[in-house]
Amino acid sequence: MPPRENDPQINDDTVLWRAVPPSHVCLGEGGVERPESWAFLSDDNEVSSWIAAETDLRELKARFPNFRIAQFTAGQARECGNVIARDPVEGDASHVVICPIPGKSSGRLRKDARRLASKAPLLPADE
Amino acid sequence: MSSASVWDRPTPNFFGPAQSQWSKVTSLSTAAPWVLNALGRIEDLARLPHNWDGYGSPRIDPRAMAAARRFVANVAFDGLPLPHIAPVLGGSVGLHWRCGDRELEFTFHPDGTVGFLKILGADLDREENLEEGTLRRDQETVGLKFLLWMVGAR
Repeated sequence: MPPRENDPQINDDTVLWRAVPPSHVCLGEGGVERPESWAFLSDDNEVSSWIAAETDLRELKARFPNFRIAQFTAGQARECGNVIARDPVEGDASHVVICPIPGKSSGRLRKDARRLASKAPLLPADE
Repeated sequence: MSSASVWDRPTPNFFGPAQSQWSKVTSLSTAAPWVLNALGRIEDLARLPHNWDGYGSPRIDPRAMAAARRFVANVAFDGLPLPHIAPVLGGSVGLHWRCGDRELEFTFHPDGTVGFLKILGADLDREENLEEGTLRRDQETVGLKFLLWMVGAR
């Protein structure tokens, strides 16, 4: 599969959501819950996310029961060495994938996943 | 659980060089309080189904769980907090310790390698505050050194 190309039409201030399993929620600084870095890694280097403005939060939560939703911007994902591409699946046009820039090492992947995790607060569980 | 121990059925090698396999057996009756809890949580990962993360991840590999258990048993000292124990993509197991602004993440892979990520300071945008690598041998020894660093032992 050719490498994904960054979609410039997804602005840096576009808010993205990532569904995070409860096992990937830890306590960060000040006892505040945050996603683990593992929540931003993927076997195929394509981390699924959704454009918040185009997604019904209740539907996303229904699709991932008991999961938490991490929120970050496209710009933050890009600052962490990623490109963002639309990836409509099953009629869901709001689905995007966050992919490492070409040539990124596995070590870089791990560091950048941790960085992005620290920039992606979790929405309240009952929101 | 009175006299249980954590070990991997070591076979003594009477003809090989002296080694420390026997000395690594950890008695659960004397282990740090967090150890039993951690071992139980690792064991619980076996119950996760395929697609536990909603993104198609496979079940957690028994080899990764065994490696994580062995590691925990060998770094069991009182000053450590309970790590956050997490399933990781690819059938791996993650252990995450945090102590002040120092953190350690270990990822136990089914192939026997252990990835680590050291957080050396709060500002993650500073390259010098993140260190990563892969442990292929002496994993418990190196891991213990890292953990002693994390808790501030000098």
